[in-house]
Amino acid sequence: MAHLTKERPPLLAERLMRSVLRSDAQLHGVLGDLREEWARLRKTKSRFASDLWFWRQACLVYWRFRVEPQNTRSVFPKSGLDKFVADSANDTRLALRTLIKRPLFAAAAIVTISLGIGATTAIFAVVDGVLLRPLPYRDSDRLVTVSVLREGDRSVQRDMSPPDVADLKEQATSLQSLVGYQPRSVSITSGEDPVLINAARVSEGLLSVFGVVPVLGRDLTAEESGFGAPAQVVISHRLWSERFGLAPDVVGRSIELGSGGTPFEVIGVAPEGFEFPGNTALWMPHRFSSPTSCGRACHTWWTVGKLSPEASANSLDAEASSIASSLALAYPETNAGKGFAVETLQDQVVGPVRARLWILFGAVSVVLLIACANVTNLLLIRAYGRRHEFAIRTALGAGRGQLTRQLLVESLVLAIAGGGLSLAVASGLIELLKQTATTMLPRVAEISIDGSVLLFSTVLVLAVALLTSVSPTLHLSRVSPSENLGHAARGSGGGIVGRRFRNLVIGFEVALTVILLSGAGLLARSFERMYAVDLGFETNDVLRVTLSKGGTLDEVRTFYRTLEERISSLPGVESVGSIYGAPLGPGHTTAELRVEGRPDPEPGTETYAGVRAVSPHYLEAARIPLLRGRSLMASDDVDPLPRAVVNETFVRENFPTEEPLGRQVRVLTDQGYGSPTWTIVGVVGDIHSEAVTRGAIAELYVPHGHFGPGFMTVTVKALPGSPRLFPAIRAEIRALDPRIPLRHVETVSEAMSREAAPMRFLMLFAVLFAAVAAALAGIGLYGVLAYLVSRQVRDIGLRIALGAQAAQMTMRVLADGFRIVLLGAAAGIGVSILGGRVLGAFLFNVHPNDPLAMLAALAAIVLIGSAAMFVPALRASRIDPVETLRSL
Amino acid sequence: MALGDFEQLVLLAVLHLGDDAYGVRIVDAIEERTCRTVSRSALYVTFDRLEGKDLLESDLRGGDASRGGKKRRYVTVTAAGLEALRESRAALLGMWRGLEPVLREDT
Repeated sequence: MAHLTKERPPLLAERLMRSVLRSDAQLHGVLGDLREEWARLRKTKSRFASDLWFWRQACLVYWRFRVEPQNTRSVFPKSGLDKFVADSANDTRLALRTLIKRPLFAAAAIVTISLGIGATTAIFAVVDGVLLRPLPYRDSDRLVTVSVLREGDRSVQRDMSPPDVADLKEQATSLQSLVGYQPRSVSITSGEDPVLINAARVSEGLLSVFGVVPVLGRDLTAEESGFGAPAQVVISHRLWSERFGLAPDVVGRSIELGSGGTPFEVIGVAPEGFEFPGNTALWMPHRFSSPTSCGRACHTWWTVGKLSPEASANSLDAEASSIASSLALAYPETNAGKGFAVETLQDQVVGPVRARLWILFGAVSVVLLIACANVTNLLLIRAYGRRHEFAIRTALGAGRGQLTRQLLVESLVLAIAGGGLSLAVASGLIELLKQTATTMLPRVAEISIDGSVLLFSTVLVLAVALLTSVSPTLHLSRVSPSENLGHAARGSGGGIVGRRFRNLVIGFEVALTVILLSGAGLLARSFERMYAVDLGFETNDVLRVTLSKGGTLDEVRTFYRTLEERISSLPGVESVGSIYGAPLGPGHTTAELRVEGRPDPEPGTETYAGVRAVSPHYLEAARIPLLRGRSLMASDDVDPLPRAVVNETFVRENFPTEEPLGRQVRVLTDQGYGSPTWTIVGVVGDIHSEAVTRGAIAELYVPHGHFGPGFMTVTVKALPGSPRLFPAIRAEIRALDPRIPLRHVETVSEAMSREAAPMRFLMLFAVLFAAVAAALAGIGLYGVLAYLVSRQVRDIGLRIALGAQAAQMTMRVLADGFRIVLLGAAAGIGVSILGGRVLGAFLFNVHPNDPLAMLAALAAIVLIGSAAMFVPALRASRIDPVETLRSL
Repeated sequence: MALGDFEQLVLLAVLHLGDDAYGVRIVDAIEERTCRTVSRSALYVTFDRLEGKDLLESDLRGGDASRGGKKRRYVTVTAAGLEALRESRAALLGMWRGLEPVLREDT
């Protein structure tokens, strides 16, 4: 046991005792004795058990010497702090005792508070992690992005042209750096099975913009991008670890990319955690095929830059506008009507979800308010029950301050207990949020319950304690003891003022609930409408897989036609087609259009169309109906005369009064295989190709055999009820080309569900919060009515004894309840109608004042209200008059 | 001066222990004789209180390695303490007198 001599009891516990032991006698006596006993205990017990014993003694000593007033009073005069601690301790003990005596009341209040604070804390954690916290980069407030601003319709287009980026970078003094990049996925074909990773083509290395340096090698330079750029890459730390096992000699080794297996030399490794944009694993230079291949009309780059130390986003904005004007003068054919829009990187990353998150935060704050209202009412009701107690205490000399403090401490105890429980509610809700929002919420990994979130919930706890204690305190401390004693003796319903106040609080709750219910109803209706949209193409039993195949036009065409043939012979397959620019899928190209035989349009009056390259059977496989003329046929794929099919919107925009069939059009874009003049041979129906919530755009379907590209989405219409086809499809692809990676493997229903994710997210939580609010309001209403009935037992019993019907008494309670519900609901509907615009932007095909949603909210609250009134009303009707008379 | 129940136990234990009366020993003595667990913190505030009422005296001396350099607070009962004990005993005995048949356990 020699080692024991080195051991000593917990230092912190000793500190705790030292803080209250004053005299030498106490210090030596207490500390020495407890150490001696600890050492003795240690010979027979484990370290943990001994320490636990010591801590227990330390806490008791602390309590006795600091807090227990009666024991130390005679020995030590109390300081102000001691008095405060002792008084608060007494109040806390008293509060705990009173709450334990009423476990149901305490549980109801604590659960209500925990729901309110928990939900609010969870949404705050999301708001904080996503919106408020700066991006995790050095000088992140100086990171900006520049986009194209179309002055015609003030729309912002994210893609910039490389020459515009170069000019901005050179001329804008507010900018320290500006890099163009293009997120894309590439396949690593070095190993056995091709692996698809996120990559970014960059105009130069991104690392210096973010203030980080490579851990190995160096970053890409501006000279190493563009025409004739060397095949070099910088890889992420994660890729270095996963692919190269953190090999220190990775720089100089090569990695094969793309279906062609082109070797790229690794020249650097980014530091751990740097994966901008998104989860990029690899940065490669833009490698243009010719010096002029991407000019000012070629919009392909997103940008990220860093402001000079003294510049601001506004100063850059002003500079960019003047640069845009001079570019418009110098290059009118490409830059007329083109401006630049500057926003901070943080705004760009979180902008799309900002409004949605604030709406959720608003909704959850309303839930918290309802929870507070409920607890206030519970406390008020209890306060009336305690008038007698307070009256006696006042009569015995308790000051108003003392009583106020006690009520506040009681609220605080409830709020702290609720706050503690709320952390469980919050972490559960955060998990749910993270799971439902992974695809639509940026920075999900950064959401956590950290210091600032805890601080926020602590503030909420204090606020709830204050808010819920104010009105009971006012009511109790205002009335004189004699009056209170009188009331208590008569045992009546607690005064007209108190009753009105309680009704007001419940009415307020009902109104807030109706606002949440109608908002949730509107979102649910939108969601339903979204799924009810006829998209114009087949969505059931359709599977898709996107492939990227390199090679000549002939090779690409042969590959896809062979693949389509092989897949169509699989059992369970009804038809197969391929498309570049699949609806709700990847690879959309919108290009400027020229109609043959018409003069070139004035700048600003150009028309655009979505260009979709399709295989001969695609339109048939996707069930896009032919309206006039003929569809594309297998022969069109190889026939020297290029033919195309357009949709209704195309006809409406370009040939409103003319016959489109037989007309010739050109599009000013190509996929590396040229872009011929197309002769229109047919018109097909419109489809929602870009998004469910967006209408059709003009579309031009051209034969894949003429236009390319190698990037196609193979679309398979399966027979209903056929088994999973993906393994068989994958096998066919592998048989044709084992190196080609499969992207976006999904059914059309999955694509739709992804589309609907943001709305589903908002709706889900709106419905959840509305449901919690409705439940709380129901409980609140029940509490108030049940209390009223219980206080009026004698009154009601007397009336029944004097000849009133039991049914009349039921009606009285119901009338009381319904008056509150209907007035509250009317107020709620009024606010919903006035504030409907807030939700307007998130609704789809539903008016913000949709009567059905309002009626549904009304019906729901009436239903909940009736349920809450049922038991109290029944009780009122069953009061026994004989029993009442006997008790008089 | 009226003594509390616990105060009496402490003073009696100190008398039993004689020269060896300090915290740990007193706890052991009371626990052994009464079969009740003694709260250490209560004991220490009781020391202070009894000393404040001049019923007990204490001095610091001795100590060993297990006390980490802290001395022992040896306590002795003062004359006033003895007097208070006598009074308590008399009062209690006065109250007990005549009640033995009622409280005998085998009845």
